[in-house]
Amino acid sequence: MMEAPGKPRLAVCWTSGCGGCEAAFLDLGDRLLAVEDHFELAFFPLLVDRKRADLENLGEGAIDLSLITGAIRTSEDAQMAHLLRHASKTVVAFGVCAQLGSVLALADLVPVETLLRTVYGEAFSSDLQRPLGAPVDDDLVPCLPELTDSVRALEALVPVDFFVPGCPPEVEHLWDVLQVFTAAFAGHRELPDRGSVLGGSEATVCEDCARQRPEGKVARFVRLHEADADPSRCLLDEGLVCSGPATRGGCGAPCPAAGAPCRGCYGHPSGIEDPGARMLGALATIAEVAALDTSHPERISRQSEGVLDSVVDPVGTLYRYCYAHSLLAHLREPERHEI
Amino acid sequence: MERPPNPVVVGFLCTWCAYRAADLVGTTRRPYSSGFRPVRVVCSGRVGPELVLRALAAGADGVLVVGCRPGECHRVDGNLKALRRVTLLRRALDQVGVDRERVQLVWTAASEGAVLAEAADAMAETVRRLGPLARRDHIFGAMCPESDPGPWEGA
Repeated sequence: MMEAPGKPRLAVCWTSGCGGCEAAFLDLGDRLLAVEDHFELAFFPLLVDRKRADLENLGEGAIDLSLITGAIRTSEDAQMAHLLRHASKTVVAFGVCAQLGSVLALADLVPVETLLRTVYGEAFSSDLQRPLGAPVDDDLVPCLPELTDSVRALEALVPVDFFVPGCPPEVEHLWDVLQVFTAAFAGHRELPDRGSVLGGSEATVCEDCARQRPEGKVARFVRLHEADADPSRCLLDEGLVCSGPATRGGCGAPCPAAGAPCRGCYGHPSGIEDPGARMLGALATIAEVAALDTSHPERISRQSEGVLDSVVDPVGTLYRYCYAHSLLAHLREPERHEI
Repeated sequence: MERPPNPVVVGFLCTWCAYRAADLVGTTRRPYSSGFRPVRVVCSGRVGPELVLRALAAGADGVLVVGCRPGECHRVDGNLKALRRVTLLRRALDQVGVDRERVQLVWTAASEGAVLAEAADAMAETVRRLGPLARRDHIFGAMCPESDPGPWEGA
């Protein structure tokens, strides 16, 4: 760990996630070597062999910059987050898992016990020794970190200084963010305001999207495999559930350009508090009921229910990346278990 | 935070029909649930799911969206958009285990003060039966009340 003095120390730590954010580092290609020129890699399980004990031995603020990728799902994630917060001057929630909880948080739609029973008890297993649905022998279960009661965004656990959205962040944004910190540590510029979102723009994905403006009349929503999208029309007009209108831009809208609807991985732009709720509102607004019979209020309700039946799994689709940090996840009926 | 004596129900009232109906309720001195908190909006179509969730997150136990009767919307079809928005939001609430009856939509004409008052009372009863809405404070920290103030009086 003895490096030339003055070289800032960088930590990149994965908590619960898929490793895609680390893959973004590999996508830097030759520039990854430049990262090593500018930073001492104090902790980076993907690239260097440092153990948790090394982190524990570091003093307060010994690391200049920590990028934490992944949500808080296990007791180990929580411990690592606290350790890194203590050891770091600056903590960045890197990627949408750390920022908003991401796909992992959808597991919160069922209680933890149901989750464990389904995954380890009832789901099909390639373990032929164990009949389908048989309970797992407790003696065979290794000592694993415990699951937390709910999936949390990093910010819900420790103070976070900056956020970088994306699943994973576009490699150019990663490079820009590293440049920002390199310049700041070298004294060439000030750090951005604490709490800023780095990478991405202030507009929505629709601003980046080359497709035509929507007309906003949809008789039935379709899923991707049912669609044969016109290359120039807005995907919402094609009936695809595209989260572009409520998602931070700057990514260049590669998904809509390829005919796939935006899934919302860049999170919310400023001015939108709950992107899932915004999309619920947007879909309900553009859903059109043909030949509505206004003389029968009951019939109107039925017709509206009908057109909205085509929105399959609203929470799983529209809160795919933002559930852990949403207004919706904030609400609980009193009888449900508390954290 | 002290728990108010009655369930807090935020009513988003469209200015053209529902709010005039509320005026009528006041003029005729018809009593209704003291926990009802009317908010005047330009049209029920203005009330998106984000606004409803904001009200619930900030302390309301239920939300009532009130618009003009079908065919009478001052903005042509804002009330029908409100219907679809509430419908879809209620499905999302189902998915996360929050009772869908905490969010309801009713239609009134400007002359139907009694309909509005009855809806407010019925909503208060529904929410009282469901109990105070709980919240997971750690998600947003400072935005919300620190602790659960307990049940309502007489509940």
